[in-house]
Amino acid sequence: MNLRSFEKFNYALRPAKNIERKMMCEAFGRLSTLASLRRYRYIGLGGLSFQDFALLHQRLGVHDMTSIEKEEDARERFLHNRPYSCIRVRWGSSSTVLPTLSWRKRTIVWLDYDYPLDDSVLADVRTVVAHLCSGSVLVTTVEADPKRVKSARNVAKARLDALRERVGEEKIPRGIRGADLRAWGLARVCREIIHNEIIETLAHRNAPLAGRWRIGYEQLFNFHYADGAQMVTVGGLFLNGADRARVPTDHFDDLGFVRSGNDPYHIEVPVLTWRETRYLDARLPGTAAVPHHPSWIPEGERRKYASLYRYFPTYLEAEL
Amino acid sequence: MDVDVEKWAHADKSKEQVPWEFPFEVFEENLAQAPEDKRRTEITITRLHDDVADLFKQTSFEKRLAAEIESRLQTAIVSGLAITLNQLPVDRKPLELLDQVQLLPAYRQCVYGTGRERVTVKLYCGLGPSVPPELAGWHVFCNGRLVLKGDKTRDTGWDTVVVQEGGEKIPGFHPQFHRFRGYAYFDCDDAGCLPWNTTKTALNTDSPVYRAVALEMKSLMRPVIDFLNRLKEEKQGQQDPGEKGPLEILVESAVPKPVGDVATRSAFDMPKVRIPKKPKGPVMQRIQYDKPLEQVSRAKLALGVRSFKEVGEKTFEYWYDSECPE
Repeated sequence: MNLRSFEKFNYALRPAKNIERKMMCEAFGRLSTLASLRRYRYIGLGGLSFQDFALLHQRLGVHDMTSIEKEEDARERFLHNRPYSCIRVRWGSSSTVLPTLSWRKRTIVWLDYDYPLDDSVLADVRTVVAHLCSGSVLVTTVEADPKRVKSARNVAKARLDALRERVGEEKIPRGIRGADLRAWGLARVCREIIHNEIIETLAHRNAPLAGRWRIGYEQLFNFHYADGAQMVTVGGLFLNGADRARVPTDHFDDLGFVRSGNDPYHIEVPVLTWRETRYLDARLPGTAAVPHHPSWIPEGERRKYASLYRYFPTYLEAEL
Repeated sequence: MDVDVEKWAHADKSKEQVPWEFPFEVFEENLAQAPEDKRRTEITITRLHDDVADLFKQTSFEKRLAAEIESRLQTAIVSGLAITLNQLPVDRKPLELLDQVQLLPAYRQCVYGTGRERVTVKLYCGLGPSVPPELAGWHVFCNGRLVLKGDKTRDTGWDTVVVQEGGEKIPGFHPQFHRFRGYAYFDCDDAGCLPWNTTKTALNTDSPVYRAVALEMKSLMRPVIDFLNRLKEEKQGQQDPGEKGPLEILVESAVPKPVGDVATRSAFDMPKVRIPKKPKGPVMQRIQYDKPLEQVSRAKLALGVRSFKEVGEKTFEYWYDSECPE
């Protein structure tokens, strides 16, 4: 039996995803320089746990929330699991629902797919970028796992062929070879393809517009992580001339995970016990980037923890 | 005014006035209003080129010209402009969209620029009659004149439509989209701001306005394409080919109406109909292999079956039953 994504994972327990969600939420909070987050809308691709919805409602006070959910046959189950009444569910695939939404309001969109980049993902990106108003954010997550290629003599060629089949030849950046897709290479190429699609769509959208109405894109997120399969998340902020002037150029600079280019932020989850994290917490933030103590915790784990301790999830078994 | 075309065509256009503007030789203002039946613009062409004169004698050319006028100037004709060609009126065949409350077309209006350069764009996207196939696709009008008819190419976004066939992705227009209709009307006081070429006969896809509008067109198309794919799936899923599913019944019950007369909505949405679920069988996998013909023929005889396909199935079942007990 083929399990669907929401039946395979408990999204709440995936630590890297959990950290990514909290990091992005902190960055979204900075949008308050443009407008109160209460006046923003959030669009996500549902799921049974609605983790992203709950977080944005609790932390940022976003009230206008739309979840796009394709599993209409599990309608009652999804509706029952909505944590807050302000979440509306629009039934259908993202390709069907996104073009039917109104885009007059500032919006945070997270197209969080659990499958690899393909032409339907790029079409969704195009639809959103063609319509988002200034002050909005688009984040796209896709699986970017090169996977083991079985029974292919030329593994590199098989990987490139698979990508070509999914997105089409003309979307693959020039000079990319199959060998470039190994390890995190596929994630890098996927980010570039999504980024190019955003830039190209904006170029068309802006073509007839006068300078101050033109919308620019500033990348904020370029995450690589793997709770199981390797994933890449790319996203950023869309601003016209007037809004650009209201966001200081260093507005996001102190957020260590923000990435404006092709170099990713790797979410590396340290393997630590609860007692160890509490011990380290008491010494963080410290003057050194890596806490020197205790030496019995491997330095690598200490370093990883120090870089993301504010977002690190704690899981406890509880009798309720 | 009298224009010597020969001279005009060979004039040095960089020094002369704008080549497509012709000043009146006599221009008087505040004249008494002429009676309505005397008001007209009459263009008389003398010294026709021999080839053109020959063409004018042919009946087939007259029919082609009538069809061309009918097609290119249909917005003006539908709005009430009467055109006659050799004393016979040019027909009025308005472009149509299906009028059914659950299948209403999407309508979007966009405005670019200001003053005389303000371009207003009206887009309609929905369903139409399944015939004739040449009307499927996008139709683009500039100041009422048709510059692109039933387009099914990447110029109007069809490269972004991908259809899965036999496990392969094939981009572009497919026969299941015969009911697709898109109409784009560009209007501007300054004809130079419109997305057409200098002779006003073809679309200029590089025009800044068109590049922005093409994004809107692609976005309006997607729900219609999804619906037409669902319609095809529904037809393929019918046990009895003569039987009609709820989507097909809905489409066939819809009446086509002229574009301006149909109610619209901001986006085409999938109709809310109950689609009976297809009983799902197990996921199947095809197996292919080669074996010497002699051995396969002997196996066919031993199994008592008529086809090689059955040889494959029966030998697999035989092995599966003995090696993979339930």
